[in-house]
Amino acid sequence: MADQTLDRGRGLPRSLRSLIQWARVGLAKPYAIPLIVGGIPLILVAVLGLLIFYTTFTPLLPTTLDWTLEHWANLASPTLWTDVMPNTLIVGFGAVAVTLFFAGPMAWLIVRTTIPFKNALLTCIALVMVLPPFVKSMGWVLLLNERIGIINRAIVAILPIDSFPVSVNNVWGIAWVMGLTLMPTTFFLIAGPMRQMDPAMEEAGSICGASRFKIFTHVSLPLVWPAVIAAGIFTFMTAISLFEVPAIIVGLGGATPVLATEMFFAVYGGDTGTEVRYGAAGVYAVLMMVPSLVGLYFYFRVINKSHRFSVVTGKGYRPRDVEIGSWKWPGLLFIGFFLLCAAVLPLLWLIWISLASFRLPSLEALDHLDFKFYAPSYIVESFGGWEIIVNTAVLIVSVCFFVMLISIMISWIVVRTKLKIRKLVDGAAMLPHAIPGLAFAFALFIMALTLEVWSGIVLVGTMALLVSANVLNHLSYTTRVTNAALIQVHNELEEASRTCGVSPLKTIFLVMIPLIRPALIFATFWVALRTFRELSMALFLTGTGNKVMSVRVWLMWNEGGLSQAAAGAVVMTIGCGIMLFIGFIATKGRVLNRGIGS
Amino acid sequence: MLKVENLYKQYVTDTGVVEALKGVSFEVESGEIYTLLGPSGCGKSTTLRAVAGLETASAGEITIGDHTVFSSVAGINLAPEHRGVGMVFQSYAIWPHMTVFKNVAFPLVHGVRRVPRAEVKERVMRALAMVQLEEMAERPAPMLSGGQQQRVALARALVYEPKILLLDEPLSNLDAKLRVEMRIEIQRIIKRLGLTGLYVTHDQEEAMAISDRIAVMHDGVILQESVPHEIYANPVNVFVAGFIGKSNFISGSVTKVGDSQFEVTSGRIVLSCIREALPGPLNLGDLVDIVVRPEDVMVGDREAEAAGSNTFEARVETSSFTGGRSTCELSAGDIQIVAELHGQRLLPVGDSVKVGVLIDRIKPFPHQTDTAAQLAALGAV
Repeated sequence: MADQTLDRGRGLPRSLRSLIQWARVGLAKPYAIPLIVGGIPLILVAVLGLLIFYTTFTPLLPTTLDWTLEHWANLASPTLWTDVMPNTLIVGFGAVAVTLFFAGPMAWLIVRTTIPFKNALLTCIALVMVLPPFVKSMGWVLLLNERIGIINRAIVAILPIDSFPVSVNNVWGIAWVMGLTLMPTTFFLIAGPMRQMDPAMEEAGSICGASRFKIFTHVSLPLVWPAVIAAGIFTFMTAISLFEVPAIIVGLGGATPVLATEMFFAVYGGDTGTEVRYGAAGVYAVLMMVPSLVGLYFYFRVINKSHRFSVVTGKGYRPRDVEIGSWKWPGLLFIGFFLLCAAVLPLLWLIWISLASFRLPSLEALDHLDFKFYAPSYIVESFGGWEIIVNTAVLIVSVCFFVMLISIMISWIVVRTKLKIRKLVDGAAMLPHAIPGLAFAFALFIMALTLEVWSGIVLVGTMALLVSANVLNHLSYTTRVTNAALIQVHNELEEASRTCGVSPLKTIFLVMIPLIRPALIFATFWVALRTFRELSMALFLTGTGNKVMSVRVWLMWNEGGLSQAAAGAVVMTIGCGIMLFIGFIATKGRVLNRGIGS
Repeated sequence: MLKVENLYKQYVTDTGVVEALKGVSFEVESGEIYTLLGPSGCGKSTTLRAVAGLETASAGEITIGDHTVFSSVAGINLAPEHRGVGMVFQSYAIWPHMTVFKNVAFPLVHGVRRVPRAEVKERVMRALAMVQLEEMAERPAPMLSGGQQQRVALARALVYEPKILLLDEPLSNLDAKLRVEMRIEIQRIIKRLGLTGLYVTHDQEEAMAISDRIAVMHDGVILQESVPHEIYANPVNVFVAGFIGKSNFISGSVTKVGDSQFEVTSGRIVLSCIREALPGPLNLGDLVDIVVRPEDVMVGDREAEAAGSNTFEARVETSSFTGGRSTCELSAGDIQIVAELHGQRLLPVGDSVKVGVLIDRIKPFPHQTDTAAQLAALGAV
């Protein structure tokens, strides 16, 4: 035995030799490299998902083999059921209510009526989507806070009262801002099917003698119902796991805990230096994932069933717009109100505060505007130097590169091969959708800590960790885009390349990628934008080597330099604007077209 | 040049295992155009794609030239890029993100059979000249018409001088006039370059016009392989007869067996057949299917005379003139027969006419119960 292992190669144990032989044959298969490039991230996703569960049963880190139920005992903690869970549910359902309140009527107005300025309104709604959630949150705190909110101060100045006790700094405020943030996604999810709905179905209803209201409740609503449900589930899932909105509005470990902030608090514990409770954070992560997984299940059921509600008819019909006459004014007012709340007011007020601090707006105040926060040198300094800006750029570029590369390989396996595991691969690619970004960050963090203890390799606080988190988080979205694009490219275009003597991998780069380039640019742009403005994961994984711009804005905000933080938020928004402009040029305007036609 | 032996292919679908190929064997000689002909789903495209390496057969062996490119026994399965075949696809598969020149140059620049840069231009232009597209070289590929795209696809398949050219329904996306033009051109080019062609089509007319030999496929097997005329004149079974050209089918039973002839009766019709046409034991009462081509049905007292006793009375049901010939449907009792008449004859509908068929134009086959259903599914006459 000893001799065998000493003699290299030839003397290897038979099992190992056959393994090498197997690997050599396997690597020669045309799908080997796509399967490896696409498969490893998906395995990582599954491992991370399991790691979250595992952490809840270990005393501290998975390095120790002990196990415990003490973290789950936390479930008995009274505050969880009196505060955290009710708050989380209010945020979730509240956000759904707010999004539907705006998205339903607005989708109908813009898609199905004769309201003017449709294209401009659509563009505005897409622009709202670009505004980072934390910027919106900061704007609203500065607008409607009992002490410093401009609305409160203005009312106190006008009315004979000492204070105006309406504030955004509570769970209802979180739901409100969350709803405003997620409304465009819901809007586009509903507007698509609504546009494709054949008016003849409604006309048939009215010929049958049904009233307008009956037609709406019995014909129109059921037809768009799957889209509404799907949008609601999506909003709920996102709302309960988005960390940055509650973190900005009510802070960490405060009087209004929600799952997302509690989870963060369990690991970072504020400044109190209390013990780190990874297991407890794991329990919160699991609690956060449960509705998401249930939601995802229903989401797929709705999507699968939706053919029954098929609202697409053949070609050649034009949806007839409902004549709303002078009702267009209340309609426009309604849409205007949304745009004001979701973007214009928060952003304008942030700009004002960054220029004039907390002075009330007046002509006189205009003379005292101070642009010091916008001096290029000051911007660089306030964001922590060029290093942070370079970090941000490196993050965006590498996330885009890796996520697109992996998605292309996954889609190629799913769409182009007949491998048995392709359905598993496709399903696994949807998993990141059910695991909130914060839970991903947490799992990666635990994995990195464990690795550090075992091997001494330090990953905590590195760019690699942050890039990984973003890549995995965006994988579901990008694989949907690449799948759809690839399905539309005829198989024979790639086969022709093979018969011309070109290898499969080279074919992917020479033929397939150029052919789906528009879709790739589109997806890359959105990934870049989301990565740039992403705060939750960046904050959770922050360390010495991977601070990015969004984290710096958070720090400015928490260190109390509100004017400076406002300026930072405005700079981030301008950054988004520049990226949007580049995306607009690169996709010839399609970037704002979210699937409901021009 | 190309040898396919005992090719099997199974697919696993949601509804179970589908046997696409059930032991397909054939050999294509160097310089020959060999066509796989059959209805959709017969396995002809699967066979071609297995030869190209785009699909992996479950069992069998494929040899191109002196190289075994696939062998389930020896565990050989060469990737498409290493098989050295040229292929023209049904959808043309012209890459829309490249110019005509770049499309054609692709195999020479990126493929395993790369050539020196200096040589690329000359060879591409030579290939384009062959399909008369030299002037279009710098055009973006999507700006070509269907016929031109087809030519580009041909040039791209020929540019690296493959030993064998595979054509998968190359003309099915063209309009009728262009289809005839292109098939003549493809034939001309293959013959001029001395290539070997494996051609797949469902169009029997196209197959007969272009091929040196045809293999009629059905349900994963080759039913008959021969030169075009032989397949038309002597189909081996009712299916081939139905698929190649138009046919009348008459099912009857044997009522007399002689040494050189036997007699089949179907309703009012009694027809004599040559005994050798249906070898093997034959008993009175055996069921037989008879195939008669419409142009072999002779109508009229004078015309039918030549058929001797093989005549019967029929009524003209419909009659349509198509210029240079006319087609009429006749009925003799329950039996419907289509006849094609040459010259400018048009029979009055409702007339009673004498019909005859020469004994050597009658093709008898043992009766097959499922044939009628199969033919109905194919939409044959």
